[in-house]
Amino acid sequence: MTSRRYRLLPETSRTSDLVECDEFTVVTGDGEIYTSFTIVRITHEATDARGAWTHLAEVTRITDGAVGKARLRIVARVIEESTVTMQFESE
Amino acid sequence: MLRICIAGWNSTEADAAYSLLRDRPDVQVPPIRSTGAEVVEALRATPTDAVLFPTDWIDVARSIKKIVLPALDTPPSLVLMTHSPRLAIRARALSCGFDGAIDLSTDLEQLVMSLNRIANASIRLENDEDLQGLGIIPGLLARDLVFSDDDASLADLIATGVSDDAIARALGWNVQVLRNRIADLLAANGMTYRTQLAVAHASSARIPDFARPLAE
Repeated sequence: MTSRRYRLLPETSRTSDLVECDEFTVVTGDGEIYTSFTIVRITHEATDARGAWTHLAEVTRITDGAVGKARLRIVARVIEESTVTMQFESE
Repeated sequence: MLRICIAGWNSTEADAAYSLLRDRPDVQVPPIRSTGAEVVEALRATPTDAVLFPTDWIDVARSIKKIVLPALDTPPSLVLMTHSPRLAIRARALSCGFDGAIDLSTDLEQLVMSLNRIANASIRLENDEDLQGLGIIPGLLARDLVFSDDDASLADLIATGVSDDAIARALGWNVQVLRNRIADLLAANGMTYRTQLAVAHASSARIPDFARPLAE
């Protein structure tokens, strides 16, 4: 998915170049449920994206390895906000 | 006729419950008992269906339950009366052996109905829907939470009910670091919800759990 808003990053780009920690936690359920993910690869850089997201990433859920896609807001190598759409639940 | 005993000295909860219930024709409620000794005396002298305790009498109620109630022919139900909807308070009462809790902010009919149902043992804190939804059971409150010293101060802050952003500011952490830490804490303690952690910590930090069987 490459558009004016999302620029595909080269596969050689490293997660550690973009963020200090490759784990992040999404909070859902009215602030009740904390689910942690690990970034597999940051795939896209976003520009002027709705929601002020800065990057897209492939992620896995730490508890069970389910696969998803995350929108991330990365500021100064820190993930400030995140949302995840699951693509493949664990089997 | 529902026979009630209200305990509490200088308690807004006791005053509120008394003023609500004293004119009800279907409720018999003598004046507020202001000491534990007065409550014990009243229970020994008069058959009572339910004793209402304010939140700051939980420890007194626990002693009465343990020492006095077994000697009574028909022990009354112990009921927590509170203006607060906080689940942590109910969880504390549950771990101390209360049978039910009434919310003084509900209307009078609902209040009397709840009291009747608690006194008839048709509802108890153990089957309280809110507590069930959080998986709050005596066994959960009895067990030791897995904490490091740093995590204990984090859990203290979570138990106060403040937001992640506020906690992150207080501890000088990035909010994402904080959330990762909370997620680890939840996972380490086998919990699903933030409130579970808050309630379990708030309860276990302050009261020993009498739900756990005593060692032989």
